[in-house]
Amino acid sequence: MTGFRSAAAAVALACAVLVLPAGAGAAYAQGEGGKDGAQQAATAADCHIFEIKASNEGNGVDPELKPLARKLKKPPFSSWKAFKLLKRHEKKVERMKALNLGLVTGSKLALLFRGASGGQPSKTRLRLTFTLDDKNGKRKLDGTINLDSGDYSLIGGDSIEGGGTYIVAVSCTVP
Amino acid sequence: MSGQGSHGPKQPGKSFSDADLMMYADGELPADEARAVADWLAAEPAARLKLESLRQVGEAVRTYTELETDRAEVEVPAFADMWSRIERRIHANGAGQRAPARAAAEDREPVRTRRESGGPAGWWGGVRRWFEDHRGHVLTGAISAGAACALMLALGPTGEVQIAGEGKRPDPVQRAVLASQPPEVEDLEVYEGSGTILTIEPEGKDDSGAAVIWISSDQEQNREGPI
Repeated sequence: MTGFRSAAAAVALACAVLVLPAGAGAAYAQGEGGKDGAQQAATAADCHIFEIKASNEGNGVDPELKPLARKLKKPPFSSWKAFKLLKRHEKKVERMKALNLGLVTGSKLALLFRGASGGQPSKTRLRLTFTLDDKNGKRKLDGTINLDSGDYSLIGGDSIEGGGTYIVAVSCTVP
Repeated sequence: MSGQGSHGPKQPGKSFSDADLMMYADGELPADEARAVADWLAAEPAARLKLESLRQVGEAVRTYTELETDRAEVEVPAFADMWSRIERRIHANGAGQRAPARAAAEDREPVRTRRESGGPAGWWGGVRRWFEDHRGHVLTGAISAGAACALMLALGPTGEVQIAGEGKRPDPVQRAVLASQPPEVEDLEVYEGSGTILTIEPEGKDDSGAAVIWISSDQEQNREGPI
């Protein structure tokens, strides 16, 4: 009986020695893969909103718009020579909770972070919905965009008082 | 033991048996009987010759056994302890003076010395003895471990572990998923005028992509340019 107990203990010990590292490895794998799961369950996104005036008065891109400088040299923005930052907003947008933002033009932008999916943090795919109403509350646009975390959405075309064209740029990242 | 089957003193002029002679040669007779045998031997030349022969045979047997014991100790070291115990017991039986407790203590002495000696040799010896004593259990454990290992290798989800490992080459499918993708406009509704969708691809790893929605009002669309 004692021999049987000892043999059983030896088998249990051997299994524990083998199963523990395997379990640890699986947990490690899940931990690594867990980033994906965490991103899918991201509850909020950090969003930067730039209000920009494009014109041909003067020259150059506002230093505050450095992250957008390359894009502003490409069509359709290459039609203008000067880009000036009118206002910058940094907001944390909770998932499925619309951010309503008053713009310098009097228009209102609503931004809805619908969720995120993907692999590495820098390549997390975000799903955002925009609605843009004019200063009278009349809906001008709504749409949904899928883009990588950190990519920009630029909405433009409206004329701005005093000359120039109004552009709003939005970039969101998942922490 | 005497020829008459008793150890009592013999009468003068009586003869003694071969067994008495053998006991006398081995010094096993009581003192008074040994004296009687000695007196008898003094008067019997044939008995003296027989006694001498017995002594020579006994010496030959002892020498042979000692030689065999020495050889066994050299060739089979494990017998050394066993022989020392046997010898001590033989001496104990022969002398009849050693107390049983002392004999037992002496029998245990080699083991105690090994256990208390300390140091790497003693420790290693203890480990070796443990493995020798539990050879069956160790073998069972090793076989079980091998079987479990084989099962894990055969059934384990190796793919997940490979993806998790740092420094390993990523799976091509996984790499495609992780690659940067251009922005996509899922749906767009422009209520006044029209919208144009453009995509700006990132120029490098440190650059980001952009989706451009350009709104043109109806007035602008209807405006005719100079001809």
